[in-house]
Amino acid sequence: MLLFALRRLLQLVPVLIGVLVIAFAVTRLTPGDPAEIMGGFEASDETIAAIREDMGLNEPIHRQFVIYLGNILTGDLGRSYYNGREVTRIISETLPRTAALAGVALAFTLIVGIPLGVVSALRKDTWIDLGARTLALAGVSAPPFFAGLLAILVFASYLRILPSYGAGSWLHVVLPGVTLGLSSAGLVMRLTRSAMLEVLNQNYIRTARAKGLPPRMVNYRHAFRNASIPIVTITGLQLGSLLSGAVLTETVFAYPGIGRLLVRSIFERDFPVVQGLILLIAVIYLVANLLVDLFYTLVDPRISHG
Amino acid sequence: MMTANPFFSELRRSWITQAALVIAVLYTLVALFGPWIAPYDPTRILSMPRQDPSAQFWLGTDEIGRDVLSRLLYGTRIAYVVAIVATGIGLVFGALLGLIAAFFSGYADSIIMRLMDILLAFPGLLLALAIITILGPGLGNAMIAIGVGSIPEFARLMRGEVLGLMNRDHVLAARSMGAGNLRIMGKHLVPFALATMLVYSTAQLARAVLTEAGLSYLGLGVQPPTPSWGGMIATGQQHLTTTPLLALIPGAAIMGLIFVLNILGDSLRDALDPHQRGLSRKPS
Repeated sequence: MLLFALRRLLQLVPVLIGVLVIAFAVTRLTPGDPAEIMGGFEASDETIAAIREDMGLNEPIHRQFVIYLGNILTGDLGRSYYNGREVTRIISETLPRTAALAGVALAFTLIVGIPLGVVSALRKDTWIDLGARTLALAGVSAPPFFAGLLAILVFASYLRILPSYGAGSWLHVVLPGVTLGLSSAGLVMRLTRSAMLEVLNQNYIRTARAKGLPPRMVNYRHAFRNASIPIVTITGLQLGSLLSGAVLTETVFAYPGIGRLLVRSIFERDFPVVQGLILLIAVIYLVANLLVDLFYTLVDPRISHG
Repeated sequence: MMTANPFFSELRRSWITQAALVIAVLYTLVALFGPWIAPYDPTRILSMPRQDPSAQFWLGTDEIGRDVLSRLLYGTRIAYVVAIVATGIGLVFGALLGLIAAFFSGYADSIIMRLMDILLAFPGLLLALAIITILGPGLGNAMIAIGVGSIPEFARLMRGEVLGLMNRDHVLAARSMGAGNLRIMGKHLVPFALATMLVYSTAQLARAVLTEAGLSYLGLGVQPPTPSWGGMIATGQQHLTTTPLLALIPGAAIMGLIFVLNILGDSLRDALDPHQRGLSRKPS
């Protein structure tokens, strides 16, 4: 197990370097001189030259990358072109809001997706199954900017029970959180259904039924427990999708998290912030994948990673 | 080579798949003939802003007085063009890289697949956003961004297919008869892997439509005044409480298309995956 974890960590190194190269390219391949952008329209040639020197832009590109790597390792993601603030500080202010959103989305995914999938599998080929599958497919197919607008219309404009835009109280997280979780909930429902169907066809379930065990015990203790491994896996992998999905959901609800910050920074050409956010989301996604892999080995001893 | 028969038997079995196919064909006809069906020029201001649906403007007019129906029809074509070109980019480059990785194995395989791992480290929209940041917003760049994002999955799929084919008798026979690498790849590997790749492409189309709509909604894809579904939703959202149809009509159009493409993707997968077929025949 320890060896597997170490090997997986080592495999991450080249991927991480690649991610860093792409993030680095965001500031270096974009049209325009970063020093001129940072200096602003009225900066003199001397000021721009000083900024270039200060940012290390006169160095050869490979040297610039090494400096960039060194800065990242010391937790320095640079400063915003727009307001000169540290990127790490800007991100650490907005990240908790997106984390709250992802938390609500994940809770919605589990609370709705899993029971719907289990019921759908147990009532296969009935109207309940068809209804649950249609709902799940609608969840997977609804773009967040459409589902979000419907939610605003129903719950904020007509029923007036939830706020539509912005942040401030926990109520502000409900609509965007559920909107963000819709697609994941649909996906988890579909996976739970197929995992349950697969397990329900196994011999040991037939044996358990033949022994006269009550259906509830067979369905939940024997079937669901064994079907839960792929469900946990797909839920873990959804974390990355939730973070990138937050870009759209936060824009719909004008919710000030990292997704909206990313879009705003792209428009403002605030490349250090874009770079920092791309790096952050990719690293969180990679770590989530790693944890899912480790979990998989831990709970299912049949899996050999030799 | 795989035949289309399982899909047709799935099609005969399920009325839902039949309905999805009919709707998908309708969308495709609209994409093909939209400009001829559209009653007005989608960029021309024709009337007062935000008119309700009427005999003259069937779906009303938008925030500056353009015909919503005409914009929707043109937008269908844009969504199709972006999805098909982007999926084509992913298919061609992904298949090529997957083929090279599997055929030459060793260093080529390691290098290509590690590069694919790097691209896969960017979930969902993120890679497209990174590419758009570098290239700038616009229709062409959106196609490139979405296409590049789909390369790794096509490459992985092609690699798996080719690895499975490499030890088949017809490939070994061609090799023993002295066929060159290009001939083996072109005549004995690619045609046999093509069916699976095309099936996956149809599933990828739905994702490309969604990504394009997402980018255009954010203002980073198709640029105004060119009509796009995502762009129409973004501008419609500003009048959500007074004229909700402006955002809801293009939203429903996107969701409808993704919904039927997902149903068709599921049916294709069920039809071509013997394991799934087995499951559906077993009693529950």
